[in-house]
Parts: sequence; structure tokens; C-alpha cells
Amino acid sequence: MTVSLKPVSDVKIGVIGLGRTGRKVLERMRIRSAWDVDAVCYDCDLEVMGVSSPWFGCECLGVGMLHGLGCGGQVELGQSVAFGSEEAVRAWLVGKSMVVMLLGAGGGFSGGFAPEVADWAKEMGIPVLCVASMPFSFEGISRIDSARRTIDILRDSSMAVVTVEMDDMLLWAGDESWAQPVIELGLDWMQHAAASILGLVEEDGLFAFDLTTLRQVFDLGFSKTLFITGEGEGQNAVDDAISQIMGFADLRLPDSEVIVDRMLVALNGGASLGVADVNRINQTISKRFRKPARSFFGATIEEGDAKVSIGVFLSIGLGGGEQGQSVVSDGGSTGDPEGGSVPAARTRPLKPTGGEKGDAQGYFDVLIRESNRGVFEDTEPNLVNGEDLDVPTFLRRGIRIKT
Amino acid sequence: MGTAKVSILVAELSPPSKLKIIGRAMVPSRGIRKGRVLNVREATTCVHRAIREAEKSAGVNLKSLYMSISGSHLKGELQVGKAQVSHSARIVTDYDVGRAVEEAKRRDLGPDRVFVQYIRNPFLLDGKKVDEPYSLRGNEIQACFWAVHADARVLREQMQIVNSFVSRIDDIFLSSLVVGRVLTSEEQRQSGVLVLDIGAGTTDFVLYGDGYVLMTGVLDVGGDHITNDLSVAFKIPWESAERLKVDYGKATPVEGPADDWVWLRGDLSIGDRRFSKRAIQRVIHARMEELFQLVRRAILPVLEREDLRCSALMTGGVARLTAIENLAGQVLKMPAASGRNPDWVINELQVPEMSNVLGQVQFALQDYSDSVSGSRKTPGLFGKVKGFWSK
Repeated sequence: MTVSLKPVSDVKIGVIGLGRTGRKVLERMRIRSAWDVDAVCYDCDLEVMGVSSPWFGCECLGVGMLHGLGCGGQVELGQSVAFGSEEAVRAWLVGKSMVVMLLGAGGGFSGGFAPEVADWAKEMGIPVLCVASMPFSFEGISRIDSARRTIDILRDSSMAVVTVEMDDMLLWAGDESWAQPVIELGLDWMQHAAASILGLVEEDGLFAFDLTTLRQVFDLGFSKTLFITGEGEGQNAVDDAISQIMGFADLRLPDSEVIVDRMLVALNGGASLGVADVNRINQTISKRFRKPARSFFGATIEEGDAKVSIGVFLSIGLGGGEQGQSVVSDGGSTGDPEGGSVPAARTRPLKPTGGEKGDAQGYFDVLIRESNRGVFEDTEPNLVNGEDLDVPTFLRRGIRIKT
Repeated sequence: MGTAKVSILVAELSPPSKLKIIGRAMVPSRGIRKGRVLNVREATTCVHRAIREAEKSAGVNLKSLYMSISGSHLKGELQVGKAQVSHSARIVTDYDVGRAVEEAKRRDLGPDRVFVQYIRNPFLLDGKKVDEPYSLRGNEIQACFWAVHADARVLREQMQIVNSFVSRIDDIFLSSLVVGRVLTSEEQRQSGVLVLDIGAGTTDFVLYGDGYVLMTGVLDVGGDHITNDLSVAFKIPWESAERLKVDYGKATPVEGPADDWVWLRGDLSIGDRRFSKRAIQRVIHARMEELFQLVRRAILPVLEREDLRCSALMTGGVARLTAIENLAGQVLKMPAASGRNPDWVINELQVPEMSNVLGQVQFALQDYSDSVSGSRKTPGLFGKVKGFWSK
């Protein structure tokens, strides 16, 4: 077996960390020197920014407006900072093939800043993958609502939004856990999600996986993506990693609750990882998630690494993305610390998913097959005038249903 | 014994013909789909549970019961028997009518099917409709029956399930007939009325005109098909599709703004999704429009033959669908409304799902009165399925 670690030279990925969460995830990321990755951290809070890391720069924005203080949870302020920094951010985006944005949803800065960056990137034709943490439910309904609004907007303008829910982390770590380890766990998962994607695209691994393939994985339009990860080391590394994936899935995704549209399994292991192991991982995970309509598999090898880590991205199409639809309307204006007026949060129109893409993705293929009989699969055909009435009428009549 | 539920009403009869409902039970159905038993064990369990609950509710032990049947294995057809009037003065006698009736019922169905109901239609005396031909003058008498026959195996399975808990089934009725009886008045049956019972697994319909049952029919399409369509369209589990149907289902053509969205659960958890109300309506409208078109196609020959102008009444769980009357009216090309159970029943029984059992109670009362007075004309269960158990 030949394993090439040659970087894919023409793919330059930008990684943006927003706010405190974004910075912490960036600090955790294992970015390999061979990767062509350009990373930056943006915030408006000087205290959080600190100093730049060797591999990513830090920029404190909106100092003139906020004096280096934070947004205090006000999304409008984060948005104002974005408006004032548009030129600089756009300049940074130039030349990027893809952007991975890391943020903690629910915060004022990231909530206002991230959607604008995603919009600009989209205008520039750069796909954006967001990895966002959702706040604990005990952080209060207003913070959760704010996070949901941010995620909703990002879903519209990004290729995908991978959410890591802190409540899930608490559940996974156990109720007895202290808050700090749970937060650390969440940050670890976020970095794992981002690093999995970077590794797949940047490495020439076991299976060919490029940016085009990645876009196919998440090309669902308005969708929701859950990330699950498992890690193992030593003789039972594969089994341990699989059992962690299954354990979390059982905890979070009862079998009857979820039908997954797309699944991406990103595998990273040492040179001893055999093809049989890879097959076993693929089959076990596919079976657990009911063989989604489209599954993708990517694997990268790190020489000398005895660890096996598996990242599973599960995407579910949410429908929508119709032109003119309003997702968020936060009316009113807010006071400026300098006494000036800050633009009111705008009503964000949902952008069309793009004519061709929207048309292709928004509708089902009209296929009349036995498998379309749903729960009547095991019953005799219900034939009237030559038509099987158990097959949904909209399919037999070729009626397009926007999903 | 329906796809969604097994319902039992317990009624107390007292001479001369008074009836009091003393108990009831309604349990979710299992193992029955589209009027057929798919899983005998599951079906048996839920029927048993329903009987136990009914007995407990009424405080009596059920020794016998009446049962209604449905499913597309039931087929109906008009059977006509002719006889020449034998009297020298051309006066129709019992003998002539008897010969015509005998010929009408002579048809052999083969071993797999069994007649379950002969519904008398008007006699034709020299081609002219008459209710009672006796003592009238004419040359030829024709006896007409709307005859319904069933798949013997399907019927036997259903009866065996019930028979394992009660010692006797007094009679079996067509589901459409019992519902038709309870929802319509004599005046409506005279002027013409179509009754649709749209349940979870099947749609039973009966068409009345001139006071007679002109035809009955069953389509294996019901509320479950709407749920299944939604489940397939949006790739969501059955329970979620059912929730969408109940909460946002509407039968009328697509209307409302394009950006009218609903969330499945609304908590943004994984598995929660949003759906366009228009898309939901589009799926449901397609199914319901097709259903009414199929019914229209089935009854059209009778409507044209009888030159009938009638209205439609609907019942069953699907009759709760918003704006279903509008769609039914448009497609069936007749005024349509939701049927109402009789005023004499308590509020808890004033729901579409109870129409069937209430109709059976009415039929049972009729059956009882006829047997007491000795005027019973229908053969009863034994007569209907004579030789059935030996097959």
C-alpha cells in the first residue's frame, strides 16, 4: 500500500476563529506543516485576543467603537464591527478555496460577525464550513435563542454548519462532571471536526477526497449537521473508536428518530491501519445510521501515530432556502458606547440557494419504485386502474414537492 | 376492527325495541392494515384487549357481538334475476318474485369467495321500477340486488380472531352500510346521498337513491396513505409524518405564502426539521384529490344510469382534515359536508370515529326487532356464510 502525504497544492483553506471559543479551538488544532492553511482569529475583546499564535494571527476589530471591550452578548454590536471591518476581512478571504469558521454561537460578537463573513465569502464564491458550539441550556433562553438565530442565518449562507451542542457534551461526560472538563470536551470536538475536514482536503490519503467531493457531502441546501467523534489507541484502537461513536449515537440519536440524508466518515490513523479495519468501520457506522442516501468516506494516514480517530458528520436536509424568506428580524437599534448610533440589526433576507443548485437540490427525483411504498412495502400491491395506490400520489403524478 | 383502532360499543336491548349504550372501548389497532389481518397474534391481542375493556366498562360478559367488515377484498355487483309472470291474468305472485330472486342469487362465486350481503334494489316490472310488485300486472318481473362478496380466507381470519373470545358472532355488516345508516335520514336516502367513511386504512362508500342502496365500494386508501406520503416525501419517520398531518394537514389546493414554515418539534434538536406548509398541503391535496376522483369514477355509471343528483357526507378520522368538504365538493361535483352522528348519542360518541359502531348498534336493534316480530328477511350470519366453515 502506498501512502502519499504530498499536499494538494492548489487548495488553500482559510480558518477563522471568532471570539473566545474560536481562539481556543484554533489553539487546539493540530495543523500540519504540509497543509496549505491560513488561519486568523477575530474578536473585539482585547483581553481575549492576547498575543498571536505561531501559526495564526489575531486581530482585534472595532477598537474605535468598543475600545477593545466585548459586545456584551449584543449581536447588533458584533454586526457593526463586521460592517466596519469588511474591507480587511474581504482582503483576507481573497485566494481562499474554502473557509472553515469556528465560533461559539450565542455570543454577541460571533453572532453578528459570522453571518456577515459567510455572506461575503459566498459572494466571492468561497464555500464556508462553520463549526459552532451551542450554549448549555442552563445559560438561559435569550442566549440559546440568539445562538439559534445565528445558526439559522449561517445555515442559509454556508455550505454547512456543524453544531457541537454543549448539552450533548454534558450528557456524554455525565451529569457528575465539572463544567470545565465538559467545555474542554466541546472544544476538542470542535477542533476534531475542523481538523478532520482540513485533513481530508489537504492530505492525499487512503481515499481520494477533494474539495468537490466535500461540497457534494454538504450540498443539501438548508441543512443541519451533527458531528460525532471517537478515538482509540493501541491494540483495540479501532474497536474503542467505534464503540465511542456508537455510544454517543445511542445516547443522542435514538434509532427511530433520525433519518440521515448524507454521511461523511473521516478516518485518521497510523500506518498500521489496514483496509480491513477501514471496511469494518465503514460498514458498522453505515449500518448504525441506516445507510444514508449518500455516504462518503475519507481516510488519512499519519505515520508514527498509533491513534485511530473517527469523525462522523451526519447531515439532514431541512428544506427551504426560498427567495425572499425572512429568517431573522431583530428590529430596533442599540446605543453606541461612543454616543453615536449603531445600525439596527437588519432583517436578513434568505438568499436563494442559487438557481441551478436550488432546483437540483430542492426537489426529489421523481422515481416510481417499489421502495417508494413506505410502510406498505410488505403488503400486496394496491392496484387500481393499473396504478399501485400505495405509492405516494405525488410520485405517481410527477408532482414536485419542495423539501 | 380497523387499521387504526378496534372499537366496541355495548348496548342493552329491552323490549319492545329500546336500546341503551352501557359500555364502550377503543384501543389502538395492531396487525391490521387495509382491512386485512397481517399479523394474527398482534390483531388477536388488541381485539382481546378491546373486548376486555368493553366488558369492564359495561360490567357484563359479552357472549356475542356484531361485526362490521371492510377492505378491498369486498366486491359489489348488481345481480338481476328475471321471471315471466305466470298468472293467466298477468298478476305478479309470490311464486314469480321467488323465481326472479332465486335466479338473481344463483351465481356461483367459486370456493374462494363468499356472499356477505344481498341488498335489495327496486324490482323492475316490464322495465319500470316498483317497490313491491305483488298484485301488480305485467309480463316480466326482474329482481335486482346489490350483492357484496368477500374473500373467504380474509373473512375467516377476522371471524376466527373474534370467535376466540366470544362464543358467537350474531351477524356481520358491511362497514359502509352501517355508517350510511347512522349518518343519513330517510329523506336523504330518498333524494340521493353518497356517504364516505374515510378511515385510516380504507375508504368505504355507499350511494343511496330512491331510498335504496344503489352501490357500495371500498378503496384501500385512507389516512395512513396520507401519513405514508408525507413520510416518503420528507424522509421522516411515521410518527413525525402523522404529527404533520394532524397539526398542519389541509385538503385544499396549495395556498398561503411560500415562506410559511413549520417546525416538526421546534426545539432545533437533531431530528427537528422545518417544512413548508405549502409542500405539506401539496402532498395531502394530491392524495385526497385522487381519492375523490376514484370514488367519482366508481359511482359515475350509477349516477348516470339513475340520473341522480345527490350530496356527499363524510366521516371517519380523515373527515377531520381541514377544508376536506371543499375538495370533495369540487372533485365529486356535488355538495359535500361532514356527517354528524345522531343527536341521541352522548357527546363522547359524537366523533367521526364512532359512526361505524353506532351504525352497527342501529342494525343490531333492527335485527333484534325483526327476529322478535318474526319479520326478519335477511338470512343472518349463518345464512350468509352457509358452508363457509367447511371450506
